[in-house]
Amino acid sequence: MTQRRIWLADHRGRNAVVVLVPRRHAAPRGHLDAAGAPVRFCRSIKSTTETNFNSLLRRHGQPEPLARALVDGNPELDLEVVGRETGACDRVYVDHDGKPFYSARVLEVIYDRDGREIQRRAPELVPPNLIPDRAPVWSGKLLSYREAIGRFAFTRAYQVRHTNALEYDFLFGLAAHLEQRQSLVLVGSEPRGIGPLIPERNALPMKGLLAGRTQGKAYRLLLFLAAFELRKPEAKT
Amino acid sequence: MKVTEGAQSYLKHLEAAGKSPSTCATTKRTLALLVAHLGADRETGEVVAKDLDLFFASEAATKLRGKPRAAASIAQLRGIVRAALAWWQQQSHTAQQKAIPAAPAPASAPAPATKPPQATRPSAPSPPPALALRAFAPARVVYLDLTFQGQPVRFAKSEIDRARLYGLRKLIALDAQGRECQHALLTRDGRHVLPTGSTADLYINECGDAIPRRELVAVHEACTPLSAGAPTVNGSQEVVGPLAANALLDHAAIRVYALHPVIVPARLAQALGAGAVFRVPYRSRPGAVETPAFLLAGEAGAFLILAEPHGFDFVSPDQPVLPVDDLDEDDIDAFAFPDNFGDNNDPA
Repeated sequence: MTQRRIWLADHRGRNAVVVLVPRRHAAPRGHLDAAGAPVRFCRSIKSTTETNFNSLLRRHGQPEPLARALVDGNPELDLEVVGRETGACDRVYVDHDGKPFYSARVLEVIYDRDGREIQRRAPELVPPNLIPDRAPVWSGKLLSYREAIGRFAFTRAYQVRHTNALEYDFLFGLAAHLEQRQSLVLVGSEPRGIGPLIPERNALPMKGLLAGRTQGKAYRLLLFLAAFELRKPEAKT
Repeated sequence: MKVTEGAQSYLKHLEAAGKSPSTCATTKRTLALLVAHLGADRETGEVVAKDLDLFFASEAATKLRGKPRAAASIAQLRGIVRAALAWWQQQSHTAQQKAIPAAPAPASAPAPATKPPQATRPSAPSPPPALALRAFAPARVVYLDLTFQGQPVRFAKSEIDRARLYGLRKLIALDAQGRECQHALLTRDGRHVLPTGSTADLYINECGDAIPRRELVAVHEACTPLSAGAPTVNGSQEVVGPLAANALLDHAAIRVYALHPVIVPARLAQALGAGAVFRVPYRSRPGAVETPAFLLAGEAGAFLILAEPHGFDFVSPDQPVLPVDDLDEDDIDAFAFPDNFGDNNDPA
């Protein structure tokens, strides 16, 4: 597996493909029960396609016979299965009979912001654009810290890092430039470098902003991706 | 505005609205009792539900000349007090809106123009509009109660996300008859197909007994228990700050709420309007982890941003070569197969 990379341009007209490091989540914690004994998380089976409500209703036809069957014979319980750990599973589509379905026709459904369906269409493959076909350009769009945090919800953060001395020089200079201006710079696609970033295939387009700080010879350059703007849901896009 | 001034303003408002002299006189007597109970120097914005409960239970509100008031009189008194408080709040709200840019009101919040929001008790939510996706319909108005320099602060909060702002696209699979297929899990031995809702997430001990979540004790890897804090949502938390604007840049947002000001002290409103950022202690459930939350106001209103520290440190030129253990997420189709089952999510 390779690392995620982005092609960046700086204020001096230079550009480089550099590494993006995702944030590490907090160290995993364990749990004990009240007596101090270790406990673990598990996913167990409650019912299967043969014993769930829809299947039973199909089998008995009406709710009344089903209710009677539930009282008389516990058909919802498969004692060989209930309570078993699922273990690793694969995700599948199932048809209306609950059987795995292998030849589904996939559609993309578009909903408006009120949750109403507005369009159905064949899905389009949207490639990532962190490394575009042509060299990116420096957008020059600087936003102050206050303006940036008041306008965007930064839902993703990556650290931009170097893998060699040339990249270090490039990224350190970029971080120092942004620190000096106490600003974030818009990083994006399209000829002007202000278009949305698509970090992975079929991902939602996001605004990208770079923030940089230095500490002696060390630097910290962060790429923030904003999934949405901080604004009223009622306002028109 | 002090309650004395508030009472006088409200009486003037009633007179200007053409209310009868007897209505104005009754209101004046009732508000005099309230002012005497609260104290003349009390700010109207500081009056909270507990104050009203105490007033309604007081002798002044339940007795007249030593005898119990009639039920109708008590109801009338309560109605007058509530109407006055609603009017004060509306006035306060209007003043705050000048300081803080308007935030989106929750869909189920009462509309101030026709029915002033009740400061002392949440009003019944209006029925949600007919929506195709249930996730879009807020179930009820949720309040965020805070204190700022000892003064009570209350916002109505409503979660916002990309779908609420821009809409949503998702993939569905259809069978030959055009019917939508559902997702399910298939066990690796191929024996069981598990539709949504057919599994249970449990914590079990070494004997295989299920342990209720409330009995779990979170521990470090070294099995030292983590200090578990109480949820912050049941009590008022003191707002911390103002902070430097870039404090938020040490975090990544995990949830965003639009805030609708209900009770906001003038100084806090001014600070937010001037661009200050505050931190709010926030823990939605009992546990060891506190989620940092930031209170700020932008052009579109006030927001609460729940965040997680990203934990990135400075890197020096002689940093070691990065380990190549990062998943190539370009190969992940972020849109192809939604995680309906929340795999890999340890809910505690």
